[in-house]
Amino acid sequence: MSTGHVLLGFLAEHPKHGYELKKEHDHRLAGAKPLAYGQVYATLQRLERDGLAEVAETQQEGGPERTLYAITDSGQAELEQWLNTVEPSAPYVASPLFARVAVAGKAADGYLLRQREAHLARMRELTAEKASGAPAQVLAADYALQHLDADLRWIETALARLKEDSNA
Amino acid sequence: MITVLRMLNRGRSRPERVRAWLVAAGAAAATFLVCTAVSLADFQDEGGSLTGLGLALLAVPVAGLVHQANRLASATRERRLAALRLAGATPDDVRRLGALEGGMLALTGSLGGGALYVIVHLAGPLPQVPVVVALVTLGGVLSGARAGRHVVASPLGVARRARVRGPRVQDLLLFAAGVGLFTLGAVVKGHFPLVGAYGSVVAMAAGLVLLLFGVTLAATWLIRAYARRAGRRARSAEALLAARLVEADPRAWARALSVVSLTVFFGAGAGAQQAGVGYSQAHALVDVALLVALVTSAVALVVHQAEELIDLRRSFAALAASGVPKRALGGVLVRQAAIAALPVCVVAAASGVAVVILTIVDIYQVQWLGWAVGRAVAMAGVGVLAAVLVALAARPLLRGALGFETRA
Amino acid sequence: MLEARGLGKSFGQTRALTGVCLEIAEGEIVAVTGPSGAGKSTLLHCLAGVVRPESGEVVLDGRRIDLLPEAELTKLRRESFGVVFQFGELVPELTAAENVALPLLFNRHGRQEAMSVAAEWLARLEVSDCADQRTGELSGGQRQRVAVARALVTGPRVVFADEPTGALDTLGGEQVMSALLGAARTSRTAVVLVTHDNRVAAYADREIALRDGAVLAGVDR
Repeated sequence: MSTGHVLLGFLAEHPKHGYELKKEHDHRLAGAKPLAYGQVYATLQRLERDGLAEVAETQQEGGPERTLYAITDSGQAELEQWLNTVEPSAPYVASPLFARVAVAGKAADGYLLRQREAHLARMRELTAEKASGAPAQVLAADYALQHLDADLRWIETALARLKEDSNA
Repeated sequence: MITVLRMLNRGRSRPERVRAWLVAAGAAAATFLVCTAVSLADFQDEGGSLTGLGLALLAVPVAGLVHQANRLASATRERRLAALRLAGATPDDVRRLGALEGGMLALTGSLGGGALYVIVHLAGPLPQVPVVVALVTLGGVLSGARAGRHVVASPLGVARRARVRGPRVQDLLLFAAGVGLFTLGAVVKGHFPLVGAYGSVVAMAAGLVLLLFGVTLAATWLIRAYARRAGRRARSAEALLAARLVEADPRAWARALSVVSLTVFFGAGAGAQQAGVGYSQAHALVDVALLVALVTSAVALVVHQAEELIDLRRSFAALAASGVPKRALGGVLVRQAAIAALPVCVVAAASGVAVVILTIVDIYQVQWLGWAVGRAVAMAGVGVLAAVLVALAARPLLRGALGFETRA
Repeated sequence: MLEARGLGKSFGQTRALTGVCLEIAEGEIVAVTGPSGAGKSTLLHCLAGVVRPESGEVVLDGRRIDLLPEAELTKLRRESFGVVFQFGELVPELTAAENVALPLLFNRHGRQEAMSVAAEWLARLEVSDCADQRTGELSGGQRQRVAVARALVTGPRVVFADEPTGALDTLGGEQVMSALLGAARTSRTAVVLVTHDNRVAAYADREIALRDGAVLAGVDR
């Protein structure tokens, strides 16, 4: 996922400044890692350099300087394209979980059981959060829950296969 | 088609074999009784024709039993037919298969019954035998074709029906036509304008068959109305459950009780007549016929009760799991039987008396009414009692049906 | 509050449970998980007093219940336990409200009272709209919520739920789960939840993982 595209998307509504963009990011992508201020400004400068965003206005009212950014026409086109691009459907298996089991082989079952517990504990947390969360949080929790569940089901199948192999 | 039938027969379950035997035996009994009844229908001899009438009456519950037996193990059969439909059989194939099966059983049975009659009555009249055999076989074909009708439309079979079709006007016409034909046959006796001497017997038999269906349909309405009222007034869980269960499927109860109600109807009618004419040997025979009919009705009820238990298994098992005592669930069965049987038997007894009194109202005397009413009350009581006894007897089966001891 | 000590049960040659030990505290929500054939349902049936174990003990509030005579066990189930099955197993011929009132009627409450308590429960589970519909006409999610109401209406100590969301989609299942657990938490009713779905198990405070009829070591804390 590209942070640049996400910020372009927020700018498409109306011109905003960096602080506003950070707030909005953390609120709407509720489950994601919060964005650092430094990263916001670095991304905005990159967008400006590529001609996707531009400085609309610079305000200074006593406090520090605040720059209002706006989306450009080519930025609009780029955003449009990004929104409609289909993600590649998992061309590679890139998961530390899988890598560990691949390396450990038959000795992996102890690790898998501990990982299973950790996943389930996290799922309990997420489920509890969902009960009182805002809609954006619920959506993010759903996403995380389903992925953890997929991992858990893989762990269970892997455990069953390991047991089958050792019985054979 | 015959090949498929053979394949299916080889894999038959025990209840299905029981059904085959019951259908064939019922067909045999019906054939024998009707042939004998026709041979006795001699209108110069009042006693002889009364005896014949008694035997013809007996054929009706037996025919009812055949139809009811055809529905035995219907759950297994419906699953089998549904599998056939999924495997590509057309609705017509399924219907034909059912007709073939029912027809062959009825044919086998009625040939046996006919043969028995011929052996017993070597000197008696014989021309009616092929006619009766053909009629009974036709009945088997029709009953068999209809038996699988729930899965004919959809290969996925039937979920339990939440609502039932209400009775229609033509159901009542059927009932009226049955009563009409029967009384006509009884009144004109030997002077029937059609099919010669046997005409009135044929008319009476046809009337009886129509009456059987009419009574079933009218009883559906009656049972549902009564159950709805009982449901509204129910104070206990058992009463509420029983009333609602009967209300949801009054047709099945009406079918099971049709034989009972006819027995009550004729029993009350015979009582009203005996009060006037005096008790004779012919009356004794009619009473014996009624007794046999009663046993047959009980068998029909048992068949129904077994079906009902299969249907209720899941929801009753859930109730039992949540702590409803099995005794209470058995109580539901008994109450169901009482709720369904009570209105039907009361109406059947009352109309039995009414029909006889109306037919001979010009010579009927008021002092005969005591015996008539007493007999009617007794018949209604016997009918309800039979239904309740069957339900009581079914309670141990409930224990088996509710078992959790098998792996789900 | 509810405790199992060394439960064993077999069906013919198959050993369904082999020495299961567990303890459930008051108001606790516990998920029993495991692949099919692990003995989940058998364990639930033993705990709920529907099936008697061949060995071991089931203890409720310090009292052994697996040895109680059938009549007493039935009474205990009726007063202290509630059950929800995968397909609800309601009586299709009764309306939703009547289904919920049924346990109260079997406990010899009057009809008026039973129906009004049932109506309150249907309202709590947000299915008041279907009170007068027969359960055969309800959607799967509505039916399960009616089943939850029926399980809770007598104020039981423990509700046993066997794959309560098994026949529902994700959102339908979520509604049923929050209805069940929300109601159970407010009334301090313990819930034993049998499921093979981790997302359902994640609603519980704790997991008891079964494998081949025994509790998986190291998971039950």
